[in-house]
This record gives sequence, C-alpha cells and structure tokens, in this order.
Amino acid sequence: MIAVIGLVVGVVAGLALQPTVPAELQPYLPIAVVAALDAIFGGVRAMLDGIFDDRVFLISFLSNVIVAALIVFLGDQLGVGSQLSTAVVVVLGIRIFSNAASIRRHLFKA
Amino acid sequence: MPDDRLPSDDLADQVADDVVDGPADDPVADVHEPDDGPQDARSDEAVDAHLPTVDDAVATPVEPSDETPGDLGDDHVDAGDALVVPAVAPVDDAVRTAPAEDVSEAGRTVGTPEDGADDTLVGPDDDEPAEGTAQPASLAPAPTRTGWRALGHAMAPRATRAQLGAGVLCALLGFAVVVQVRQNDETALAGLRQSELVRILDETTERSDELRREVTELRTERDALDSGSDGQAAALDSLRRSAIMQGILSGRLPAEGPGVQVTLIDPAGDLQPVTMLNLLEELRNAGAEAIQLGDHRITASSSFTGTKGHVLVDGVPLRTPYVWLAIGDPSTLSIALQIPGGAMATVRRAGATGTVSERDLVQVTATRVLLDPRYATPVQDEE
Repeated sequence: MIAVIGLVVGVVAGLALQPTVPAELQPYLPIAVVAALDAIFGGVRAMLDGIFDDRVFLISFLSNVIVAALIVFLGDQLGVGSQLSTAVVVVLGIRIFSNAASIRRHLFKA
Repeated sequence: MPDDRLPSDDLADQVADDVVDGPADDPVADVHEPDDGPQDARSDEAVDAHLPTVDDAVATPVEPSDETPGDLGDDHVDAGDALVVPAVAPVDDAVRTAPAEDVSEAGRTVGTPEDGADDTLVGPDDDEPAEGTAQPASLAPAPTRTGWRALGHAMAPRATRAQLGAGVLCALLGFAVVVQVRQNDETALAGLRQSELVRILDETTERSDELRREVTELRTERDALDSGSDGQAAALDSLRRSAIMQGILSGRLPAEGPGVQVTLIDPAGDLQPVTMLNLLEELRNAGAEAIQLGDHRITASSSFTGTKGHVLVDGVPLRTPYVWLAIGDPSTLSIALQIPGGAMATVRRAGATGTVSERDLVQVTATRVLLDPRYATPVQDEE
C-alpha cells in the first residue's frame, strides 16, 4: 500500500515540479526507468513467493538502475550506445515478462 | 496431473526452468527417491515453481541469513526453518508470509511416513509448490488463497522498514517515469541520435543559408532602388578611378610620385638591348608602376631592339645618357637594381657606368597614344 502511495506521490511530484532532465543524464533516464521497473516486478514476485526482503529489494533496485545506466554510458563511449541501450531494454523486458508471468501464476493460477 | 501443466507454462517460465533445472534437480531427485509417485511429480512442479531463484529479489534468502541464521538463510536450511516457524516468523515482516506457507508445506512433507530426515533437504522446493501452482487437488485450496493473501497482506499499510523502503523506491520510479515521459513529449530532439541530429542540423543550416541569401539579394535590390542617383554617381566615380588607374598602367596618362632615377652613361656604346630589357624587368619586379626611358613611356607593349651600342625603343634610337624614371617604392627599386649580379652590375660589366638615385618625386610625363585593339575583343562576362 505504501508502495502504491509512493508511486502516486512520485507521479504527482513529477507533474507538479516539472523538472528538466540535465542533458548529460538524458540518455540514461529511460534505461534507468526500465531497470527500476524490472526491480519492482522482481520485488512483487519475491513478495508473492514469500521471500521478499527490503534490503535485497533496495540493493537490486539501485544496482539495476546503476548497472543499466553504466552499460549505456559505456556504449556511448564506445560508439554503440543505441545498440547497447536496445540490448539492455530487451534483456530487462524479458525479465519483466518472466516476472510478470510468475506473478500472474501466483495470482491467477494460469 | 502436474506433469501436464508443465507444457502449458509460458516460454519465460520454461526458460527459467531450464536454468534452474540443473542445480535444483539433483537434491530433489535424491530426496524424493523413496517417496511415492505424487511426491515425484511434485518435485517436478517444485522445480518449475522454483524458477524465482533466477531473480534478484528471489535471491533474497541468502541475504537475511546473517540476521537470523535459520531464517530462510539457505535453501537447505529452509525446511528446517519452516519447521521452526513460530520462532522465526516475527523476525521479518517480509518473510512473514513465507513461513505460513512453509508450515503447511512442511507439514505435508513431513506427513509422509519416512520423510522425517528428508525434510531438511526438501527445503529448496518447499515454499514453492505451496503458492506457485496447481497442485494435487488436496493442496489446491491453500495456494489459491496464498497468492492474493500475500498481496493483500503486503497491501495492508504498515509502517515497516520494508514497506517504507518500497514506497520510497516506488515514488522514485513514478517520479522518473513522469519526468521521462514529459521529457519525451517536450523535447523530441533530445531523444534523437547523433546522425539524426546532424541531418536536422544540416537541413536547418541549409534553410538558414537560403534565407540569408534571399535577405542579401532583397537588401541589395532595395538599396539599388532606394538610391538610384547615388548609385549612378558611385558607379561613375568608380569608373573614373578605374580609368585613371588603367591610364597610368597603359601609359596614357602622365604620373608622378616617389621613385628612382637611373642614369646610364655609355660613351663607348657597349650596352645591348638585352641589358636594357634586364633593367626594365628588374624595375617591374620591384613594383615600378610607371616607367619612362628618355622621353619614351615604357609599357607592356614596349620593345627593345637594335644592336650593341645602338638600342632602339619601339623602333626609335636612344642616345646616351640613358635616363630611366620609375615610380614605385624608392628603396625597394634602388635595392633591386643594385643587388650583386643584378641589373646595374650587368651594366657595369658591359663597360658602361650607371647611377641610381632615389627621389621623393619623380615625374613620368611621357605618354603613349593607345590604339583601339583591332583583333582582340573583351570576353563577355558570364553574368
């Protein structure tokens, strides 16, 4: 519940503050968001599995975001930024799907 | 029964299964060997459900182990933990749901007669089948409740560290999502790759150049219309200046200015036409703008002919002393003429004598009459 409230608060804050993303962070924010989504789904699944742990959740959330951004940054330095960000999105997308499937099976038995 | 569920699992699960299969299989197989059929089937299912192990968050069990040694710390300890549940359960909110399931599961597993010792080893799959999947009919009700119950349990607002942490992270995520979405909407350019940006920049630059050209043209036109009389006057002025310049160069007009006077005395008649030509070229090289020899204006069409001691300029004989007048930078001209091995040296070697004097004012008064070219006509300008 608090998580959902937090999500709403975050959205409202984003709408209210209307921040501008610094130019140097712009390529990384979308990737970081996808990585965070992956961590969230993983967290929900772990919760349903009954093995949720906030510390692991926090660490996996942050490390996902940082590693994803780092990969894209590295790709940009190597000149393959767009390809690597595609790769990251694909991998994270697969993970999100698999987590979503697990959650679905927990909740709907299907 | 569970077996026929496996094929129906979606791709992701299958993949996860594959990954998990190796490590998970061995202990499970060993453990359940003595058990009856259903148990084996369940172990398959267990492996299937065990796929969460792939996930970060599911890796959890390893983490809490340092806090509570028995608490889901290790897969193998898991079952033991499940049995110890009453003691462990309060420890961590996040884990609380698990023990509940574990209890039932452990109970079931233990329930089988010969299982006592096995139980600890059954651990890895222990919590999985309970919530994960369709189990044998007897197990079904529990899992059905569990998934939603876990969700509802988690949704209940409690100010625990886990809930607050998740809340903060979710707030962060929501914030980032909104920011990114807005960013994407607002500045489409920021999302573009370098090549696209370069293309757009090119187009913009091209367009801008075009417009700038147009501005220039229109401004010129406006100026021309605006000051027609001024323009005419200016053109006339320019033409006049041009005419003067051409006149001096072609020898049509007298000229004056700083320069040098070169006097050659050749009593013995030793100078050849080529010597004079040398001197002329040296003067031109040094930047002389108007040159006069004797009372002849020397121009591009002047010629030196004749023989040694009998030099003709444009067909007219010269007489010693030969006096050159040249307008240009005096020191440059003077130095150019007197360099070793240069024009004056040649003159002296031929047996004549010569002097070069710099003057502040040299008057080139001789002129030439120019004939209109008979054969050559100007090339029409492209524009």
